[in-house]
Amino acid sequence: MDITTENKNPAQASVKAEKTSDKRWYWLLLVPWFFALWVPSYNQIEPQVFGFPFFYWYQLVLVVGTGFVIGLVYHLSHGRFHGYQGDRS
Amino acid sequence: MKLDLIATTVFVLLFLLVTILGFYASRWKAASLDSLDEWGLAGRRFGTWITWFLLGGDLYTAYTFIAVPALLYGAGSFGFFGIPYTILIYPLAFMVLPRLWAVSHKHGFVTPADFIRARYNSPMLALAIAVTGILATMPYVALQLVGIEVVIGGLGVNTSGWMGEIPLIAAFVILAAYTYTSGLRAPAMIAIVKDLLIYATIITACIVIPMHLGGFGKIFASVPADKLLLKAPSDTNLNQYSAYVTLAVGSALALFLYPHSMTATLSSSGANTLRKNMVILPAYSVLLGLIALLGYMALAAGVKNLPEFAQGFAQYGNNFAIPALIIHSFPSWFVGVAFAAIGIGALVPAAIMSIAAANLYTRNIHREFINPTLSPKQETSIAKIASLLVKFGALLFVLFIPTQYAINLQLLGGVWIIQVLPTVFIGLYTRWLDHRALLLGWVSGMAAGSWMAYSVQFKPIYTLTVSGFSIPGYSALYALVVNLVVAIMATLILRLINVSKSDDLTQVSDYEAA
Repeated sequence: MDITTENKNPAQASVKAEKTSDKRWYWLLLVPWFFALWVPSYNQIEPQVFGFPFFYWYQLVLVVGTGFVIGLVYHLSHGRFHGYQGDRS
Repeated sequence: MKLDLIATTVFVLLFLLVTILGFYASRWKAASLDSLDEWGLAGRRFGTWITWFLLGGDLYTAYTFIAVPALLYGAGSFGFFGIPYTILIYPLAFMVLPRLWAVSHKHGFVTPADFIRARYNSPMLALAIAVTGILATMPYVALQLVGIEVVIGGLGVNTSGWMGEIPLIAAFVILAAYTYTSGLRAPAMIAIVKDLLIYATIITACIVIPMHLGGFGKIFASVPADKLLLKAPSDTNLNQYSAYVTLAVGSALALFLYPHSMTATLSSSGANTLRKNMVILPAYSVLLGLIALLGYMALAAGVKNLPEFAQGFAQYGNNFAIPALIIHSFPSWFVGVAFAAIGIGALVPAAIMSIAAANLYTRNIHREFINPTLSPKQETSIAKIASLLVKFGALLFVLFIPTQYAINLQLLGGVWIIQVLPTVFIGLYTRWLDHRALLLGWVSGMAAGSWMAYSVQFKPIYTLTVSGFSIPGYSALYALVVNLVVAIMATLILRLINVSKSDDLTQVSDYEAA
């Protein structure tokens, strides 16, 4: 997907990838898209929570979940977790 | 309706506060404001939290606060598309924006069209991007002023006559003055006040109003049963399923192509600042969901049938539902706070939009085609004047042209701005598409999208019929498909007949800096 990080020399490519970031985790970003776009899975009333039909509360929960997924991807690819891996190598 | 003195006093005091902040902002993170980087991007120094407030103030505008609940009020569940829309935005922006920031920082790009100019070495393609951005932004600024007008009307000021326009003109003059002196620093500082007011208002409203109305169960029960869920597909029609999904996807793809989103993006201090923001920006989407539900609360409260609101509904239509609900549910002083939150919520994006449009004009039209030898100081003074003209144009629009035209044009703006996606977003990843092919795709997409929007009287949904099967969908997305197909076909043809590519003035490594 990210063609500009391609490199002709595989050894060089792996060194470069460790120095910058690990973009493989970016595939996880498709998860919120999948759940948000699959309308038939949430276009229903039941189960209700605090009087909210499923359609409404489920999508609000998805919003919060999206924040968590992006946070996870950030830490795995750029943040703390990724940094520890870099120290060891 | 009588003028509410207490609410108006609170409203005016809060407006005065942000006015002082707006002028004071010119000293914040002090630097000479004589360069476009400082005036128009605040020196690219905003950290995570300021960027969060700025982007929040930029993307969730006063018009959003009025129009989204009004849509649920009128159309039911379909209006909730704003929620999946904001779910889709941030994963996408997490990937794309850090690349745009990195290359722009490296080369000193102030606008997305600057980037295109260098990436494809094509002034004409950059001009197309700049013109699209300006066209899409102008009606958006006008709608912010409409947002202010509705709340001023809600305070009991008669906004129908000539005299009635004076409060709006005053708000506009204040906005224009501090944007002129302080540049992007002003909306960034005001955004903090605006967000505190908005959060306080919405959280209070979502606790107090359901208590009055007997709980959320009662509120949802007041929504007509056929509007509570989306209309499911039949054998010959995808109905609201495809409309809901395409509207969410199309709006999400378009959002960060708007010049004002780009300006806020480029003003942040780094690629990681942006990545962290994509983690915390969904907090605003939760807020948006709650705001949307105010539309149902207005239904449950039955504000439309109350005699004191008849005049407001007659003048502003369903857009008056939320102001009416607030007046109906709260004491005067809180009405003042809530309306100030909406009014200030209009000032922040209007300022950023006018700065963004001014940057585009200065960099990609004036410097490119009129005077290539501008000094940084001259460049900044041209941008300042251009930002005044943008706002003045928007004001004339609101004063003399029916509001419905501004709404129609804003819808067209969405259809237009998404047509720069192949050039800008795909351009961040690959140079494969030819710049002449991109220009041809852009023309096709603009024409197809405008025609579709016109043919359905400027409603967002165009129904595509394929051998008897109907697929209602967002015209912007359909037009984008036309655009992409044309751009890809034309590139293939140009490659086949061996037409040479234009130069790329950027390097692969420019996109990866942290």
